Amino acid sequence: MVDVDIWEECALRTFDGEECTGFPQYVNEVIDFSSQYGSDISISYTAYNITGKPSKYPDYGDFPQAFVMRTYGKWWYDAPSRPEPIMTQNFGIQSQDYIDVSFEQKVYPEQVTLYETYNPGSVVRIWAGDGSGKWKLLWEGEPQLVGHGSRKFSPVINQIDFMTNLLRVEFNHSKLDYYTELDAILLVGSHCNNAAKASNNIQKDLCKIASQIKALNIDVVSDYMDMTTTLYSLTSLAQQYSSMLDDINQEIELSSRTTSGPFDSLPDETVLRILSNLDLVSLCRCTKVNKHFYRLASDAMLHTAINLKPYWHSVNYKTLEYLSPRCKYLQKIDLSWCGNYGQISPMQFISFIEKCGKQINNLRLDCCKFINDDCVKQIAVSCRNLKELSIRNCLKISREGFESLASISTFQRLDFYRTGIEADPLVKLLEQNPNLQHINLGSCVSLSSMDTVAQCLGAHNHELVSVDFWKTYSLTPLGVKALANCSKLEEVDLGWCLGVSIPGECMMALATGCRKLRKLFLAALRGITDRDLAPFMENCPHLQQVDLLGVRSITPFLCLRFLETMKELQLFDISFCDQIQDEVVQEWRRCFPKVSIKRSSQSDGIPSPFQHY
Amino acid sequence: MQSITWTGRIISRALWNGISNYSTTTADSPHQKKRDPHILSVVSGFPKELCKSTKLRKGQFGDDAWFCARVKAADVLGVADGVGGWRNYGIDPGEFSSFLMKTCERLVTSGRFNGEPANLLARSYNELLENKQPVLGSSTACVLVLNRATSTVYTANIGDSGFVIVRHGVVVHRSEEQQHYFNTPYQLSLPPPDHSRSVLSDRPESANTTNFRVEDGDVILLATDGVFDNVPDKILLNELSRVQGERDPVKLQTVANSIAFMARKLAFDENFMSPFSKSARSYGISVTGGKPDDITVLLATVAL
Repeated sequence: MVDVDIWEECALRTFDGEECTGFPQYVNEVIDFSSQYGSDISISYTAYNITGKPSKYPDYGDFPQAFVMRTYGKWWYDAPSRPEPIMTQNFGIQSQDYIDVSFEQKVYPEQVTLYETYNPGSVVRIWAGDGSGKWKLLWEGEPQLVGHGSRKFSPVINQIDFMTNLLRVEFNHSKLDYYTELDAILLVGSHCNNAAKASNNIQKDLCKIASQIKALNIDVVSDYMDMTTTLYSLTSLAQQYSSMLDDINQEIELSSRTTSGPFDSLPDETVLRILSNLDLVSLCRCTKVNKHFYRLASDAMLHTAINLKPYWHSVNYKTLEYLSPRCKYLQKIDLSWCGNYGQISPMQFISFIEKCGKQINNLRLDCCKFINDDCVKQIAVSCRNLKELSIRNCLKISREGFESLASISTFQRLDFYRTGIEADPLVKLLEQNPNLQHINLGSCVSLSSMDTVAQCLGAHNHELVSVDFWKTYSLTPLGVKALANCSKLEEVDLGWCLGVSIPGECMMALATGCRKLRKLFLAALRGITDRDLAPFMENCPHLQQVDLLGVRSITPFLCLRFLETMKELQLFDISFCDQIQDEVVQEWRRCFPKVSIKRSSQSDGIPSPFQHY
Repeated sequence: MQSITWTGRIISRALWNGISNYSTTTADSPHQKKRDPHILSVVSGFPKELCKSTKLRKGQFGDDAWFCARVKAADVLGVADGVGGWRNYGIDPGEFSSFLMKTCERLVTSGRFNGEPANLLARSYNELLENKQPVLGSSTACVLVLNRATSTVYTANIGDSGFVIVRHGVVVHRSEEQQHYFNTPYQLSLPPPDHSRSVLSDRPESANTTNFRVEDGDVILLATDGVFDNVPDKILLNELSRVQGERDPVKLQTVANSIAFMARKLAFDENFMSPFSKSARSYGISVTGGKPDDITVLLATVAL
């Protein structure tokens, strides 16, 4: 009997493992991330700052010693450069950014604490990885708006069955007022399996119950038991059993003959229309229903736009193999965040693009570490109609790869954020693509002559709607002047282009040349004065988003005029503008409620009512 | 009467420094037991305006700033002297020098330091540019690194702060002063954009770099011009020789305090022919007396 085994085991077990207490570790290394405010040539506001012990907590504010991401709120989604969403029928909590961090020792995680030192509440998921592509979700939750004050965020996490020293944190900052900043991540864990410990506890309980049952002495057969009634009940049970078997057999036979029920009477087109509202996972599940559903749910028309980014944690080369027969008419695919830690090899990606790449218009490969020159070359060969290519953070592509892209001349959108692209191949590419509308060259530190690039844009790309030159240091007023030739420009991001520090006449040129401007970011262009900004008031009536962070010499007088004249203004960032007093900003916020006036601050660790301990 | 209270305050400040630094050095002592080559260092100093600066900030004496950092491969010391002229432009000169030194310390302790002091200064200067809050001003700077593996001291110096290495009563190595013209040292600067054309600004690459193999017991003094302009070399050498091979942080602190105190006293002595006045005279400027300035003394002994 089984019970006996349990009792014996109970007697043998000593229930050890009590000495397994968790120990704390801070981040040892940043493995990967999707965006950062700072630049790779510096440490201020970069992902790197999340390593080690908290350096600022419990201070609250905008500090260079923290990890800051590029975006916040809805502003980037309202801007002219907003990319068109692919496969909107995917549900669940969306995440916009992530960071992968590693710790010195592998542990079974017990607790994860995030030190948020500015605008907390954006963490939506925490994952634990084994370093070779297996991920388990530790925690998931909606983005929150928790108010101002630094906090230690330490949610209750799921237990996992493997040791880990790799965490991924996903963020959604759409609700935030301003940039979120993270100081450190603490991982508490132990070397022994807590899940096992838990089952150990269950075993303990079981033993207790077993001993209680034993005490009842029910296994002892009583002397005066009615054998006839017992036997009779057993035979009736046997009779019922045979009829039950017949029922089951009939049921099986029936179901194999029937098809999809009411779906049968609908034309295929209608069913396809219904299925097109399903997300990718549901669609794949539908193929398992029966042959009819398999045929419909794997129809190529349902697979013209595929977004695998929300499923990055379970996408590997098999996913591509599985999908490729269905992707005959694939036009848009988002593979961002997928395939890292060896889950997709360059060869596997190349063979997928070879098979399914012919019709692709939009290709997004953000943070795909496996993308190398060979992959890019294959893209250039196979995807002859490519309109959009997004390869943010793809650091393995060299000059050779970028040069091969110049054979495509249909580009409308190029996102090269934080890649190693150089000026020469870029110029060739721009010359080939007169219809280019959006270009992002943010944080491309290898671009040594941005002026040449800007001049090329001004000469060849008159359809240009948005440019992002964030932290490209070699741009000078000369380049900005050349850019002013693109009269359709609606968005210009020159944040931290420190070469434009003394703008001369170039702002005037930009304002008079690009009258459709809706977004203008001039963060940290220290030399910008009232005189440089005045032309925008006269020429660009549609300005909605203006960032003047750290522009030292603009006066309250100009800001007030700006707020009064620009009727469509929605975002106005005047953080660290030394001449503007906080009191005045308060007043403006009252007078112009439609404008979101941003004012960053730093304060020392006064505990706020929002702090979580 | 006033002088007595003054001195009292000065002494108590010196003591305060002494105590604070003593505690840090003892905290490091487990490291020293490993007998890795290292530097034993203490700090002392005075801000120029003693009465005005009510708050003593760590790592700062007036417009001067300093840092000591220790990593596996090296000991790093640094001083910087914020250029006071910026006060007239409404800029706190101490902010620039202190940011520069704090960032150096952060770069070293975060392991982003390749052992090159000039590179460290350049990177720290770059972080100034990357800060959202514009930090304006200018500063001289001197950084000294002891490479444990090679027992060699690497230095980088911009301007008139500097270092002296003394072995058995003899100056064996010292920094060269970099000056554009009299009393105008080379300086790292970040001027307000509207002034940038009229301001002297030297690139971090213009730092004077040296390297020197040290021996056990060598005495290293890293100080701002507040010391070198006021204390004659002979007296300085005399004081430094007293701590040859000193391993006791308390005794080291006493000497550091006495150098700082001496510099302070001489700076306000109107009749004293200070090194500063001598130098001025060689430029044909007739002055006597010390040069009141912020004073920072970083005193260290080498233990191999």
